[in-house]
Amino acid sequence: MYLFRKNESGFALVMVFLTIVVLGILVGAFINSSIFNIRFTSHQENRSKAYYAAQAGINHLKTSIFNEDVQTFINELPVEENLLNSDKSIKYKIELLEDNPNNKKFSSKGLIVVDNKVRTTVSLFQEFTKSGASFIAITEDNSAYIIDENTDWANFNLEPVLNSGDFKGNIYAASWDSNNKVLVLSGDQNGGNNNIFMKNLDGEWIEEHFNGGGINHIYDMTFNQDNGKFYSVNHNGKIHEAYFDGQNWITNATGKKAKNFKDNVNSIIGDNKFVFLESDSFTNKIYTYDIDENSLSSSNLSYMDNIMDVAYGEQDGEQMFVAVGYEDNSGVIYTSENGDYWNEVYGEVDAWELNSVTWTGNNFIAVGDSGQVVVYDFENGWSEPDREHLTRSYNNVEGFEQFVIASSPDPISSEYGGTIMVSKDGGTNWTKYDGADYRDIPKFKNIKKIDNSNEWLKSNWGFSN
Amino acid sequence: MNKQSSGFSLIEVMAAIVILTIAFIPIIAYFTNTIGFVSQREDLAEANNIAVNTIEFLKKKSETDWDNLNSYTYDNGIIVTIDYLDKNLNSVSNGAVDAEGNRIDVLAEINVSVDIDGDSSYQLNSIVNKVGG
Repeated sequence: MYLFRKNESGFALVMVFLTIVVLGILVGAFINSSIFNIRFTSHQENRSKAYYAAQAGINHLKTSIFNEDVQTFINELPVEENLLNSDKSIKYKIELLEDNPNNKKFSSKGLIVVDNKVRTTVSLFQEFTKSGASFIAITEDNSAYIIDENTDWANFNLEPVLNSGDFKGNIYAASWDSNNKVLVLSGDQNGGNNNIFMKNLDGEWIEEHFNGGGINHIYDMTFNQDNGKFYSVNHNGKIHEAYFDGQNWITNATGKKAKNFKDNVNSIIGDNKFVFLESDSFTNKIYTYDIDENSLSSSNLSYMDNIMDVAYGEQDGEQMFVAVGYEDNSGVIYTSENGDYWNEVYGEVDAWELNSVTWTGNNFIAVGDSGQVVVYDFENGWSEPDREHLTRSYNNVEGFEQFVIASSPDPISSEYGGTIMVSKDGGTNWTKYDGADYRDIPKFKNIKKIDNSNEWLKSNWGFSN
Repeated sequence: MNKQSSGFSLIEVMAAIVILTIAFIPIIAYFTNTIGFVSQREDLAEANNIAVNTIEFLKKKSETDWDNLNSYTYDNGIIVTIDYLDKNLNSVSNGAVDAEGNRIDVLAEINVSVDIDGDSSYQLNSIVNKVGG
């Protein structure tokens, strides 16, 4: 205290310096915070710009990935594109991260470049997944399910898209209008008028009745993508075309008629030709209706043969129609290049009775009694995969690329479910889900693929490193 | 002692005031600058928000209604200018359809420019799928 009293001089100056120091610290802190604020907003601004540059990359991808020529696009990666901007160089860069046949993952980086230095980067990733094969399946009790590659057959718990008993009558066939993306079922009402039911994938069923006009007892119908019309044959052998114009079903008689038409009809479209079968114990014909020419021709097959199903496939410029069936206890196969002239295949396979055949896009697969499977592809010809554990009799087969499903609707007894077998490798190896063990599996009598399978869909996306 | 120190305090205080004033001049100048700068940043942040909202809106709209995408006045003195440039990248698709079944015809680069009171301009660029139209 004594010291202070004695040395008062210079005290104000000390105070001034102290004030300057304190103020200096305050100002320093303030400068710091405002610099931080400015950096932050400028960073936000750059991040927004980089984010939308990265989004630009995703949108760029979006158009390309849905293109048929995905591979070309991928080959040209990485893509670096500049976006217009007045003050900064903004770029996006696309890279392929994962390349699987059914799943592709890309990263899109938005970059802010100042003086050749990358200042801000925002990375997004986007995955595209190919939708698996999906099918509409009709059951013995007139309900319908949509099933696909990922259906869990061991714990089958799918809700039907059409419940049993919703329509009074029988449903015979399922079909798919790939132009309008509409499911179409055909059947009849208590043995009388024919009905067509239709539904888009998330809509309500619409029911249409046809009274007479030859549109009755349609056991199968098939869609011709080229002209957007369904073709069918009724129980009198009359050929009709039908299409939905957005409000009503329009039906036309083509004026062509097959003789002695019986219940056994299966139909396909290939090469703008509509092929169907007629078969009973006396006649055995394959009819070919040429859509462009409006002409009908027929080929007689051996009367001993019972032809059950036909399929059409084309690959790399080669095309073929295949018809399968049986004679006594052995399988019968006919092929045709144009649908007009048919030749029986001898000596290639030794098969049990064949009931159904499909074209998967890669090969023909026929199934039949005692777990019989026969495969044909244009490169390797006919082959017979091992069938020992498959046993049951399969009446229906449908496939899409590597995924094939065959059904056996005949129950062992009423308390059992239907049996199915699936192959995920194009028909070589099969897994059987027997209705004796898996009783919840419905008894499918008709399975048709839904042609929107195989579309690229956007799945996951988000920020990445 | 008392006689000698009379008047000294005043001189000391005067000197202190001079020093403080000299020290304060740049600080005050700095504050003035900062206030201006911060308000400019505030404008840019608002412009950023407007541009982000606009581009999100356009992204949605470009999928359905390409023809009616126009520049507009957001608020008094805030003008949003929208420019398009059709992009012919390596990927223009032929009737490609996206997951929702919409046609994707062409890519367009979109430039959203926000002007606030005519002095600060903020730009945001992206690429959208131009549908139909």
